[in-house]
Amino acid sequence: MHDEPFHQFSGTEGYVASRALQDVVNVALALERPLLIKGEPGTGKTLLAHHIARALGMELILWNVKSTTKARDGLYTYDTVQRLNDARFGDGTVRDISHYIKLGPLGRAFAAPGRVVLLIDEVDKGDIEFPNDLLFELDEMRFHILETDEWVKAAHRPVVIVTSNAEKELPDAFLRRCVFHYIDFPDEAQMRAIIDVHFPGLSGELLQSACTIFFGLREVPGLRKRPSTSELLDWIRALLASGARLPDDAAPSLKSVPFLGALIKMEEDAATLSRHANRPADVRTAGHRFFR
Amino acid sequence: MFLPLFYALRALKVPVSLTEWLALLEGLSKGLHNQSLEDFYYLSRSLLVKDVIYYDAFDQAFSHCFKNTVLPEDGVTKQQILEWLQSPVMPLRLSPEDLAALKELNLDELLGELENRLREQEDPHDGGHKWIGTGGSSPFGANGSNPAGISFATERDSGRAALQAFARKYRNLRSDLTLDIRQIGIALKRLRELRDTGIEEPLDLDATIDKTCRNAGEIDLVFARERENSIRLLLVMDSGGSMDPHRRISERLFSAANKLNHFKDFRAFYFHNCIYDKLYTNLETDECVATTEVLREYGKKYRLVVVGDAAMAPHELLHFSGTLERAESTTTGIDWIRQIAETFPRRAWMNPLPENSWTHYETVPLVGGLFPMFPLTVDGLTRAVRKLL
Repeated sequence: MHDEPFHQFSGTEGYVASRALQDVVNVALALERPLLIKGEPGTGKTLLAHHIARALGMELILWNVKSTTKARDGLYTYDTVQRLNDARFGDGTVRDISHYIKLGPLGRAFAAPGRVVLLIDEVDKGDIEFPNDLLFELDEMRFHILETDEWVKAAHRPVVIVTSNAEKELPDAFLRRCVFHYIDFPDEAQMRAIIDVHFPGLSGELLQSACTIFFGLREVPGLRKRPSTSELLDWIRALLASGARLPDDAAPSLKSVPFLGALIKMEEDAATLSRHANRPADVRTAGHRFFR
Repeated sequence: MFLPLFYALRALKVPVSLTEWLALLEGLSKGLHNQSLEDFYYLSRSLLVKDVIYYDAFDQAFSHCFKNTVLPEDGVTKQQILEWLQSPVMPLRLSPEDLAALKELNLDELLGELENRLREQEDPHDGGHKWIGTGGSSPFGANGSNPAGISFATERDSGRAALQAFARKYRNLRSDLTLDIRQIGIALKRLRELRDTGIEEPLDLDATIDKTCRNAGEIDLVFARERENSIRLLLVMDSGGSMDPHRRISERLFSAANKLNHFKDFRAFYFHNCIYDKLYTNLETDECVATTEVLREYGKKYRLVVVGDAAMAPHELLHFSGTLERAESTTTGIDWIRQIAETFPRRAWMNPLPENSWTHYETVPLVGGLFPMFPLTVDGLTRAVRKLL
């Protein structure tokens, strides 16, 4: 039975977690189930894992999923090339296969002596079947190494944090095993708290006008990528470093805003801000170009 | 003891299963609810609901069970109404005299009446003049012809579809719809043509052994090359009025293709009713590109999939002045479609209408003569993909 207190995680001095988020993290910790985090880009999904690890004093193991990532990569890889090379020069350890087995992030999390935090970042970037391939391993917390006929078994179930940008649907079987939370975009009060954590003692005037411009930008219709928290923080950092002043008027024109490039990253969005509709778009960039 | 919550969620079509429910019971037995309603709320939401689109339904169910409020009236009822209204029934045409004869009520009276009828009505009702439904001349419903009524449909189609300039619907098919998208995605995944690209990476074990043996034991490593899908897909979708009943399925197809990080390139354009000299890139802001430029830029290299019912008034397809905006044009719709068909050797037309009804429309066989046409079902999609390869 668990005698640890329920409130293990309540944010850190560098991370403002809402009540809902704290509760959900604690639920996932207590139930030892993977925590699936979704939310707009830049709302701190990845950062959450770092700060959970810091708050609980555990090691963080990071697994960044890419479109070519296979579930097996997370478990272990067998370095055949190295072994062949060693065989060629008659190296002594060549008979010991386990010498050439390298554990992946998931494997290292299982094999770790203590409880660790495992972050599976951007799980939706992987193949459509990728999460399904991990079901058994995440359920049982063990896997089999074919080459050495050994089982890698977790002594302590790692804290698994999975983030997703909702680019693809995740399979139901995977979802059923997770604790799910959607990080809302922070409202203005929360945003002030977040800014305060990163820039303590920021002048009220700058804070006010920065928030006004930022939330105003997010309202502009047709933006492909709306500016997010992390971009707002970068922008404030740039403002502070340069000592630039923000325009004073209540509804400042966007031309007079310094370092707009820190907030608006896509060329199309910069064009959207200045363009009026109904002009024919450029055929080469039109048609919703999404990948590559 | 919380079973009502479970059934309320299921009634609101939130996909919760026993697995999730047992997880919640486990959490409760560990005391994770912390004797507080708020913590219990977050606990149950994180365990029972796995997608943000169901958060709203969860809130409704939760307050129904624990705050002693009635089951959300404007939630469920509105959804119910919208469901009734989604079933496509042809709009009723009324003569001007009939229209005038219909009682014109003021807004307060209407709202009062609506409340009464919501209380009494339990089924969808299409046609007729009293109940809430599609078609018909009741003051409540969608696509009806009562001049003073309350419409639940987001846009009002008054039946004058031939001149599309009156009834254009500016709505992007971008969506975060989730149901069955996976299924479509898996069907689309078959659309691939693998090519060797990039640097030589993974070790080709069989070839290495073979070559090493030939070398009399001297090890010779052979590397294979990464393979990549070289298919480029161009999706052109009808968003005209007659496509309204099929909007959900078209949105799903779009979502699936869009979310599938699988093609070398994927582009989407829209058109209204029939393809003319412009294709739209954004239905909300009316951005468009010239069709000729699209043909020049994307022809041959891209596989073309058109989604549309191809059912229109014959003159929209065959005469120059099919729509108001095209009054000055000299190329007819069928000419454009022929030109497109000639430019794209690999093409398919997905039609949401059931396959056995295609011959009921004069224009469908005409288009079908130029495009291989498939029904917009998972099976039809599989056939289309086979054709496109």
